Amino acid sequence: MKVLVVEDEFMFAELVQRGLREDGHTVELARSCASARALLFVREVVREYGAILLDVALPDGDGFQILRDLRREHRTTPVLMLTGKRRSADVVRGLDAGADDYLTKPFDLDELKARVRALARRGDPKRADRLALGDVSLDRDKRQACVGGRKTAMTPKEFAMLEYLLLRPDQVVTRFELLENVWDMHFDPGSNVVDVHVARLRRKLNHARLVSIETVRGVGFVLKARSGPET
Amino acid sequence: MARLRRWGGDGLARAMRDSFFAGASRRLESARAGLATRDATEVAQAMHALRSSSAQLGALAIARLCERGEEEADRTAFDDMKHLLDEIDRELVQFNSWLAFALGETG
Repeated sequence: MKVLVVEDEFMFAELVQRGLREDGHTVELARSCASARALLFVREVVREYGAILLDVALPDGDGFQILRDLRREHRTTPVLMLTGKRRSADVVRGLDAGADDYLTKPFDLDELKARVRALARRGDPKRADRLALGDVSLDRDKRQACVGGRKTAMTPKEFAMLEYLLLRPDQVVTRFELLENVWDMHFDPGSNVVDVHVARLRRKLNHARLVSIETVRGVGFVLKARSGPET
Repeated sequence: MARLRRWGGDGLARAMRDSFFAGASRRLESARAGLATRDATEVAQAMHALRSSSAQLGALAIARLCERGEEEADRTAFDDMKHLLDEIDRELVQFNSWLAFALGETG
């Protein structure tokens, strides 16, 4: 999921970004109201985010106003207010302005990650917690992969790539699509980063008897279910 | 800090420490500038930001002092502010030494 983090304090921005990337999200950072507004309202093609983490106290304004403006445009992107303001009046103000959740600093990174996962579920009610094809499955909340009946450790990128492919079984997924959605790159870096990661993922799928990643020459990849062994 | 180390190793703990101290000096500078011009908002914002980041790293003494500073700035009560900022400065030095020890950087 693509997450916009609006946070001016470098330490928090860094911590949140690392945590979310660890969970396989792509993160865009705005360090002021002005840059958040540029990303949310001014761009020629306004990007939609899966969730927004919004600090209240920003150097050039407050996050509540950004939130109100978003909701005024009927944009329902889930918003988690992330703030040092702990008084219940501030919490009420945030929730009344349209926030979906509110987390006060200092926070526990695991709690933040869990709350973002909960936002993702709320933002997409049809989102399945578990994805499966043949004998490969992913538990998206627990971030666990199971291949051929075995729990298999995956890096965040491998997990995100498998998740993307499992959402599109038997469909050709282009290298550029993977770059955009797994790496958040909107240009071709001219490297073989995708192929390298696909090769690693293939190795991890070695234990799968019923699933494979096939290459479509010059185009991309397909996650395919094979028919089971004949008995 | 221990939690950060468990999660991201010494590298992450050091990165967080460095960005904390870079931010802390900016915030203290900003609070002193606000105090000089009797700008309560600037002082309160600086104290607020420093309170959050110090609490995140477990520097509770600094966080408590900043909380007091924020409350006093909100009441435009500047009488004790200079003394308070000096105290935060001293606590920051102590915290830095403690972190260096915790991260095995002292000989």
